[in-house]
Amino acid sequence: MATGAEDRAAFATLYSMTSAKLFGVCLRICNDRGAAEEVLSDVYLTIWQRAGAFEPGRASPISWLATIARNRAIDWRRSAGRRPTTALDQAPDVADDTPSAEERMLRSEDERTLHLCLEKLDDKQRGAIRSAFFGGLTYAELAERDAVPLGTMKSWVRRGLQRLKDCLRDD
Amino acid sequence: MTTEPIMAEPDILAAELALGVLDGGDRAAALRRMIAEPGFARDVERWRDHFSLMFAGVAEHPAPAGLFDQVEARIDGRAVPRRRTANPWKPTAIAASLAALAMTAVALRPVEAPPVVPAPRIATVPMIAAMALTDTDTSQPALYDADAGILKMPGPMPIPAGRSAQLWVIEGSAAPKPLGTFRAVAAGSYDAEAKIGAVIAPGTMLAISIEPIGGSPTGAPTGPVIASGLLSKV
Repeated sequence: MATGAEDRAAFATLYSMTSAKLFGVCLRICNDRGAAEEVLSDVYLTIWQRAGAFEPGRASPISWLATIARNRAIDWRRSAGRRPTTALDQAPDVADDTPSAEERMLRSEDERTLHLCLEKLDDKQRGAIRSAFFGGLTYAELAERDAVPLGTMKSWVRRGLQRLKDCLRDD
Repeated sequence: MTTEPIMAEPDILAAELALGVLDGGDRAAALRRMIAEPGFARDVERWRDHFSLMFAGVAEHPAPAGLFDQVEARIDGRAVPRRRTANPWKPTAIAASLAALAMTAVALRPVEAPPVVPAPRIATVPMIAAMALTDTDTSQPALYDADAGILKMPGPMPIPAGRSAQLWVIEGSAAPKPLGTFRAVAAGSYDAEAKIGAVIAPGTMLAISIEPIGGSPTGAPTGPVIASGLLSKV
């Protein structure tokens, strides 16, 4: 059951390259520093165990890792019984989420395109889509949070997704 | 603008599934469609890729000092006092660690390059799939051994008592092809017969559905899909 020293060194490198990003994802979703730290620890344990599952050529490695972090953090929120507070999409790193700060982080063409397309949506549409993504919220949970009828929420999200689709296709 | 609900066209349904907003029967129906319609499954994957680009906009925060040591200690199975926080996550985390320890025995090491012996053939590259578990929103690896014609799932699966979990392969735009049903080979670890062949087309998808004991009687999936993922070379 020896784990190669090379594997361990590569893992340390991976950690140093990605931990700030993944901690950001955990913080954003957990909105609780202690919980985010525990989730991050679980995330890297998972990454160590599943390194072989990465699909090269599909999503970028950081997306794959961030997805693991997102799912773990959402699991924590559910097990902790935390209802997302208002406007999850603006919390908790709202200070760094100003458009210019966010745009600086967009490295690839695809990232910029998606960002621009999201920016074109109505606030309600964009907010619901981002909350669903970062909060793991279903239609019913989104509707309850915003105190709107289920059909209204579905409408916002579907119109938003349709516009997103058109925008991404046009690009 | 009106706020009447609009009907979701197929690609928007794919987006809804990828985004995770569906629940209950809508989600189950969308998942069934995922294995019945490869094109739909690919739409879902494409939307997942789109949405994952949103991570780019998340601000980085330096991870706490000492956290990497803690992770390494957990990898080595050394007991480290976990940070004390008053939340119900802890039991779950400990359970996860235990499950993780169980997994190490069947870990994916063979997937990674064997140290010395050069492989005599190149035909049977090990293949893996990250199987997304539909109920828990997590994924776990599946390892495909083309020589033995076996797919290994070294992790727990939610299989109801008195039912079988059946493996399906979807190649190109063909209908899902039934493969074997899973049997437990160790606690929380499953194997299924999978005669897929050594040459796997890019984008070949695997799915696992819950079926009557012994597998689907109709040759098409009849129960809920509990996991799915694309098979790819290591």
